[in-house]
Amino acid sequence: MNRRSDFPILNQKVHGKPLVYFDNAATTQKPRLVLDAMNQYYEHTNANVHRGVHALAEAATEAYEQAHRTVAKFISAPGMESIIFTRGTTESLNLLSYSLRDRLKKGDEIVLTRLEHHSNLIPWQQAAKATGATLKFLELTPTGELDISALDKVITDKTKIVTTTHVSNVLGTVVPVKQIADRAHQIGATMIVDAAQSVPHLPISVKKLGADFLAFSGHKMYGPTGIGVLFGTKDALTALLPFLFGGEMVHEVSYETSTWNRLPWKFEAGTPPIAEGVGLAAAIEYLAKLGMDKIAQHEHKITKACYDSLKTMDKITVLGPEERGSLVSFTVDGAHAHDVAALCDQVGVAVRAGHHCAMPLHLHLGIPASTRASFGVYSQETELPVLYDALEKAVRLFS
Amino acid sequence: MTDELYKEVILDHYKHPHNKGKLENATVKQTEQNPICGDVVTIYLNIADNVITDISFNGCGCAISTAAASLLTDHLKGKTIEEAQNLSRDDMVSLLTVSISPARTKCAMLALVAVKNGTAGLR
Repeated sequence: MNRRSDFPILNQKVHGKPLVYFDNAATTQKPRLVLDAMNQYYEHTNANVHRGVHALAEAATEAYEQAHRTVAKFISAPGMESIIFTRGTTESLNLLSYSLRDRLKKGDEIVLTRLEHHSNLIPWQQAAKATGATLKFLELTPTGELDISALDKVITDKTKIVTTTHVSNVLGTVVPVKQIADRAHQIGATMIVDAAQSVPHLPISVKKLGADFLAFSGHKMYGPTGIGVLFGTKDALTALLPFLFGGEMVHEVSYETSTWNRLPWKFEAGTPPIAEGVGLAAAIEYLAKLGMDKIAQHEHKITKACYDSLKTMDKITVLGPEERGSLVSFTVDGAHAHDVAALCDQVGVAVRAGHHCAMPLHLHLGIPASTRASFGVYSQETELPVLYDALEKAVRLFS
Repeated sequence: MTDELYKEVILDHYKHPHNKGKLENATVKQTEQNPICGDVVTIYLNIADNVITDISFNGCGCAISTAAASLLTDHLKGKTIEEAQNLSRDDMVSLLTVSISPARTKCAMLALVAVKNGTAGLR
């Protein structure tokens, strides 16, 4: 698979070297057809949705609703009413952490994992503070897998919410979501999945995962920034209170009280990200056409090649398990992640350095920061040697 | 100035930093962090009659922030608090002798920010 030519931005040089973009877990580049779809929308269709009777308003509404259907189909969700558009994964998870608070009281427990990104940790810290609930964590094994053997001990009768990342944005760990969801449902808890690092890279079925709620971002799956998704089952969304109030999300309004619109609009207050919805739908159609199975295979191959090579390199420590999502994080002895990333940048390789919004996990692992190479549909095995050369230079300079 | 960020001087000060370690009974101790990359620097200062008589630093950081702390602590020995307070980003870049991109400015400035914040009340 070589999709480089679909992405205009990749056809450039950085510091005089061809751009090697290995920062896909942070954000992905956009294929020409996503840019075209958004442009087309603004040039021919733009109007506000759900409120006009004129031709453009009808066309915009149809395009926006169709985008919900496209997302639903992509993750095997029942239909449009199960798909809420938000600003991103972070907003989706914040929505849940607010709207689920009425079910939490002192002594209740929220179960997370040690892998969580700040966006699936801090909202729950805040919910716990506000309600008196406590946070509990599923621990990691020495190789960076989740310690599933403790599942029944950690998730108990007191657990009301279980939330986990699907794929760790630092270790690459693929979490056995279904197994956790089964345990959560056994005791009647709500199961939430942060799928920001899995939906762009693996075939996803919300049914197979057993998720009550699942969140992901458009910009990490070749779509625009400013749009994300919150999937919820019909039962889960029906029982959930709205988070944002205002126009669009209401059915009837008086000066004293209001009733809520039907799903999914009950959760989409204000003018929504319409062009972004159109862009996200175009990105999904692009991915569906390539085939998520084929994408997963392609990325697995390059990830494995990178993992295997880095494993053999002196002074480099790879973080996380062998079986992983489309990313490899590592440390270089004696070198700070920032310096490693700067040396990569000098030869045109874009990688992430720092704690990747997972500060507690880095403290837990006892490292100040790490460097991460993460892959996408356009990544090529032939690009890897440029990374290796930069890392050899880092070892030479700093170790 | 040179385009090559990791010149010998930077690498030397990174691998063998000057004035590294705790200063017992320091007059001033100030810690600053760069949460984005996890860099932490603590500056220790002994001050007598408005003059920095001794200075050291501790912490963990990238080559730029470590070299900056090493070079800055060398530079500030015997200087007055006013002189320390008046140091600018340009002065810090001159000490480093390499050009610093906006993305690395925080690294380059971390130690100086600690010195300035630590001595701000002493003027």
